[in-house]
Amino acid sequence: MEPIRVPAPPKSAFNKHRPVSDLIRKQVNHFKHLEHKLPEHLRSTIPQHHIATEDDAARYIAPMTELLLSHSLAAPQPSPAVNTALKKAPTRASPALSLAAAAAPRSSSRSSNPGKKAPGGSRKGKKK
Amino acid sequence: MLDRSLPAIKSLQHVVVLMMENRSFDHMLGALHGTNSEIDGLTGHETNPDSTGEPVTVSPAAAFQSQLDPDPDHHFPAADLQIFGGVTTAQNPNRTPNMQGFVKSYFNQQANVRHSHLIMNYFTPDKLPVITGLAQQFAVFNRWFSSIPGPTLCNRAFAHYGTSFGQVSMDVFYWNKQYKSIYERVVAAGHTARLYYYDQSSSSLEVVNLLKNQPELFGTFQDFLDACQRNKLPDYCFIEPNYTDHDDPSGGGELLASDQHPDHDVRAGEQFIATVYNAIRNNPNLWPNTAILIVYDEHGGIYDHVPPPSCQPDGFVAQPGATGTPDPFHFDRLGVRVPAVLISPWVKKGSVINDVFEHASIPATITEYLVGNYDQRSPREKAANTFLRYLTLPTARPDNDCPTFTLD
Repeated sequence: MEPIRVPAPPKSAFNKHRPVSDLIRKQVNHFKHLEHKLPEHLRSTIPQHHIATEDDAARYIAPMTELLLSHSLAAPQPSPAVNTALKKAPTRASPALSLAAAAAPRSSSRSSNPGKKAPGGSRKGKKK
Repeated sequence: MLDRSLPAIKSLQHVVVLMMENRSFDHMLGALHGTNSEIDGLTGHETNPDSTGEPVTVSPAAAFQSQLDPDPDHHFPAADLQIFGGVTTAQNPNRTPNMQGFVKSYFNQQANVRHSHLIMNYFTPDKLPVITGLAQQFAVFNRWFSSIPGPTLCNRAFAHYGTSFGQVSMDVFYWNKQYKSIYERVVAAGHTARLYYYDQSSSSLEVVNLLKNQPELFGTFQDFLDACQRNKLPDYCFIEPNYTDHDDPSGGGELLASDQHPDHDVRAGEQFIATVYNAIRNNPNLWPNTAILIVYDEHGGIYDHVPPPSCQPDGFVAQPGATGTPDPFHFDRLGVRVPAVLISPWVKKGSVINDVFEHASIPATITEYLVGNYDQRSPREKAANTFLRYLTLPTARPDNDCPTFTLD
């Protein structure tokens, strides 16, 4: 049986500045619900930027997920996404970072690494 | 009861569930009725009235992206309108589902008559080679419904716990200790279970209960791929796709959302499904011993023609303040139909399953397979059909009879 070809999305499919869906907004709310219960020394490590886009959400969710995982007692830690260790968010001694509320305009050029493929399919799209 | 004398069940070692996002059965698989009349899909004559009263016919014009924008409403009140066509219990206490409210519901979001018609679009099979290929090559469920006529989180709860603990919304809720998650049950029974989310930036949707309290259950999608390669797959695992477009935290580039939730590109989800399938299919130590279920959490507000049936009540009641409608909800009716495909070399090619399934079937199946007699479960889960019984072939299909996928 011949393998079935699975086309990739085009490059233009990627938009990390897409406004968050209700699903992601609720996921973030669930994390926020837990964040507010954290002791202050842990809360201070969590980014406090306004979350309007998928990129904003990802940059908040990643350290919150790491924090929840790191408080597991004897379990092995999950592998990072692409064979390299995640860089931990730096511990902030200064007041929480505040970033621009509005989503940045979509970049016209991409800096994706063509040589490295994310697990599970689409990293960047091919041109139409 | 599971027939453990079946050759497939004797060989079975792993069950893998991948739950995608927000697409209805007809939207993704409805066109298959044209090549196999046993598949309860679309004839092409199905309609819904728009806000002017004009009938809008289903159309094979679904686009990969940028069509269903804004995201179609799929919360409880919208789903109620979609299913009952706008008839309320005040108007007719004995109302029955007519699946006539989808266009009206989508119109409510933008008051754009023409745009509202797009909710009736569906994909032709050539556009979805993975999910339609798998549906045709293995077993497709004609009657897998979401557990609640509502949104993602409460539907996914049925897959993890067999209940949503009375929730019909996306709000925070805490599990009821009376009903343990399927993962707890599996581990307590001496087996292994894992939830694989895509990466830390996407994470899991099961945050407040499982991720907070049992983080040891979780791994990344890379962990899943590694486990497949090293023949270390857990006895049961549940996979979540990537929920956001984001930069790879390791600096490797851009990562496309693969959940197929509008407005994410559907092709990214096709590639993700293919990757999960290939990881098992291409490992001769896993393929004969693994059953894969691809299912969607809910219909995403998108048209489907099959009325959801009533079901075993769950013992909870959501009051009007929670449902957003004038009526309480007794968890006695399922949600809209979703695509669901069962994959294994022990499944007869072209199988069409007509029994009613819902997401509580997932913990019901895994409990039956890995735990055995277990009573502390929701009434819905106890009543749910299980799916490993469809691994019926006396011998596994040969390699050249099972598809593989190559990703561009």
